[in-house]
Amino acid sequence: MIFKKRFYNSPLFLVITFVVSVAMMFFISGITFKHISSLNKTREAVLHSYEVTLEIEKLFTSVKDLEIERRNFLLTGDNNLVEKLNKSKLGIVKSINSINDLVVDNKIQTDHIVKIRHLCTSKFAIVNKAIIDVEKFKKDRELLRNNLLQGKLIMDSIQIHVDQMIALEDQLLKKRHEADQEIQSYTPLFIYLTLLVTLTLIVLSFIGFIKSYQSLKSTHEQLLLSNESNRLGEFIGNYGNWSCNLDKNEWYFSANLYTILGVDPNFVKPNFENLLHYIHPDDKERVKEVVAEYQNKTSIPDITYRIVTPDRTVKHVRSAGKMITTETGSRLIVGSTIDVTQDHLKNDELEQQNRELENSNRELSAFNYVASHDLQEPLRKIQTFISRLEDKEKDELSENGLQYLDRIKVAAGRMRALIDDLLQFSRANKSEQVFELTDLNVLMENALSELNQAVEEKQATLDITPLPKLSVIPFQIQQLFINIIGNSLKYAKTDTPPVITITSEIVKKLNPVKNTTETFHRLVFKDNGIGFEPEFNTKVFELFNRLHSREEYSGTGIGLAICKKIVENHKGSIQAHGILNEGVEIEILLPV
Amino acid sequence: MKLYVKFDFTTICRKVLEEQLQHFNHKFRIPAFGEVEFLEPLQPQEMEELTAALQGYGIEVIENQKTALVQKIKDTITEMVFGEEAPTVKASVYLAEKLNHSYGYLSNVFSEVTYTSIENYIIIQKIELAKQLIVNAKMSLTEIAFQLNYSSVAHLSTQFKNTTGITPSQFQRIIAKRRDLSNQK
Amino acid sequence: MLQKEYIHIALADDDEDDRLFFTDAFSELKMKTKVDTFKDGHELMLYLNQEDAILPQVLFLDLNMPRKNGMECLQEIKANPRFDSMAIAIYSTSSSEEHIEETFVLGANIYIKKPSDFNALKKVLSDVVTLNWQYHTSGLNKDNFLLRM
Repeated sequence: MIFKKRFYNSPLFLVITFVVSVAMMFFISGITFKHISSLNKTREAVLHSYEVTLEIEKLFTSVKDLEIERRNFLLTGDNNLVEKLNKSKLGIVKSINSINDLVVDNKIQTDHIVKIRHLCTSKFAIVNKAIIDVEKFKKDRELLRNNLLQGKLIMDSIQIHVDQMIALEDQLLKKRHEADQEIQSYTPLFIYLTLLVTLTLIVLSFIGFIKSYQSLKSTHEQLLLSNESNRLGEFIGNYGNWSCNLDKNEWYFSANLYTILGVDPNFVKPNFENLLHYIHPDDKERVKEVVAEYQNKTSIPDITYRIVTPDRTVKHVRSAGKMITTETGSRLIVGSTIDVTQDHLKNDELEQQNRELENSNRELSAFNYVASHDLQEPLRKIQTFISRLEDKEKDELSENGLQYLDRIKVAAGRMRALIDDLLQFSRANKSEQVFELTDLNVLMENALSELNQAVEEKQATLDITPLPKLSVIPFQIQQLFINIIGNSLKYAKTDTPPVITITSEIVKKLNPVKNTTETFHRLVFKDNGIGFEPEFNTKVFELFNRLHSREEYSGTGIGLAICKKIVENHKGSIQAHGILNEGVEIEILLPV
Repeated sequence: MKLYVKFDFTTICRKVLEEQLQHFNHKFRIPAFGEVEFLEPLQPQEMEELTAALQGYGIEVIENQKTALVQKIKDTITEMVFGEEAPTVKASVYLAEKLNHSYGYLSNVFSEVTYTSIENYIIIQKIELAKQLIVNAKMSLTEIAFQLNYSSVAHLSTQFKNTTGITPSQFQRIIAKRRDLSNQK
Repeated sequence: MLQKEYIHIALADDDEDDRLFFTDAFSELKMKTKVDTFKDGHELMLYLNQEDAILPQVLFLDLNMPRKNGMECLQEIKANPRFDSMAIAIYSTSSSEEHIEETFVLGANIYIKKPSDFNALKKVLSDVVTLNWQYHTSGLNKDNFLLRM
């Protein structure tokens, strides 16, 4: 297929077409020419016949004239007529000679004319006799009659021959006429044919050229557009194209490439050395290696390196190249070099910022942890000494003393709760977290066994559906369960034993931003405790936010904030729906 | 190269006891585990020698009667818990029968000497066996719970946690990690 | 009294108050105990590594100590078969699960979170010593002795 197309487009085909066309034209002209010649010939033949007929008639008229004159002479005996007779005789001989010449190629006619010549000779004899014997004939009527009769007989014979000759010439004439007509009818046809073929060839060639021309024009337009587009692209994209014809070792640098290199196109020639010349000395080796490596392959891989422009600016660039083979078999390399200095700098900046943030985070995290951890020590001592005081020195203290001691104890207990929760919070914040595929039911069991005492105290009922296995940070999810269920137990109604329902199901939600459906595990914790007004639905998750005073319910205001942090660590979401005096429903969505 | 061994304490103790006792020119008999019967009583000096010799092997000569009884109770419990077949009767009945005392008496003596109750000790033994089975790693927790006569894994878990402070699965994990660690060395 | 002999206890803790609580607690318990205390891991190991050292039956190790901390001591002790008969109790303020599990994995037998009530402390210590004693007398496998208070 490709071969055919290439063949049709190649110059050889065009030459062949041309040669064939010309040959055909010559051929047809030749045939036409031949026809016209034939036409001429037949025309001549026709004319010839006419001529012959004319000459024969002329001859016969001359012979008749002679007869008349002979008869005249015989009748009158006038010697003046002898001259006329001789003249006529000459005339006849001349005619016969002409006719003889005319019919020289027709045997039958030649025979006829020969016979006529003979007859005429006889006739001449008679005439001569008449001339000589004219006196005799004036006396002898019989001789006259004989002479006349003889003359008449010869005349008749001549007549017969003349008639025959005329008839034959007529025939010939008819035939030649027919031939003439035939050829006449063909000739226009041939001419038309020649014209048609020539016309067709011209039209076809014309069409072919028009098409080629149009296609060239279109390609040219596209090329123009492409070039402009390219130039604009290069300018906006901050890159420059280069190419090389490997066979001719001709290089081309685009305008923007010169701009990137920071050089004047008039002073720097496009070639390989110049391409390498501006590379940063530290990167030269590496680039050369990569280039050398690709010599045998069809593409240069992406390389990032630095260049130094003549005005000593260092730029970061990235180059890539590809080898292509054209239809005519030439090998070209096309490549592009893009200035990524801005990106590089931005990247560096971002990385720097990232590092700083990470450091900062780590420090904060460490601080948080250590602070909470180290605060525990003195607090524990305080509490232990308080308990010792209570044990050992209870009797020595006054009532005031005991009261003060009691308050110290309560305050210390509060501090302990705060520190414990802060520690929990800082643990939820730790960056190195390992996700493991865990059976949530096991975590739930652990959580419940930790809350065992409270569950029994409050006589709580727990209704839990089987929970799934998920990839989670086990300790954190366990803490999550403890905090939520612990809350439900703590904030139970005084007269109603808490009933806590925990359900799990898989739901699909549409993400409007990404326009995809995402699957989640939906865990719902529902209790029948004192609840809260819906306006606090989001506030409850805020750090240190409490809805009750310390006297009403103990608490640090950190528990739910920890839950929120844990859920966020797992890329999920948590929501609370509170109804005053009816309970709270906490909904957690964890992505699958 | 590592070799894993299992100890048959009864045989080991017996052998050691026999070897040591043979030094003395007294005829003896070992009627039961933890009991040695001499045809003639030993001299105090011989007693001391024997006690000292046996001590080297970690074998203690129990002097006190009550202590001896407690030891018997312990041994019986061990037998009961670690035995091939689970007893069909309650522990109290089993002990009373085996040791020919009322359970109340046994209970009192045990508490007096060891400061814990028999029930507690039984639980400790069961948990101990559970630990052994977990270390052996051939049975699942469900199977272990069944073998030890717990109504469910949760029940075993609860008692395990109450006794040791950690759950059986945690214990499993720790043992596994310990093994990995020693394998690396 | 559980036994005619003393139960030998040792504690390594850099905090003076904690050492005080510890010794006070034991003195109030009805157990025959001999309690040794050490200021840090270095002192402890010096003592233990003596040829004629009387090894404690239960060693309580605080984790956060200067010079040599509890973890390092634990690893050193476990590496030396001479100390196999000692039950090691980690006695610490830290309570992160991973931390606790790690101490068990490295060979600790007991983990105790330092209580903030003196009576609670007495109970914990009493339970630990009693349980250890039972292990000792009942020929139970000390390798599997794991307790978390």
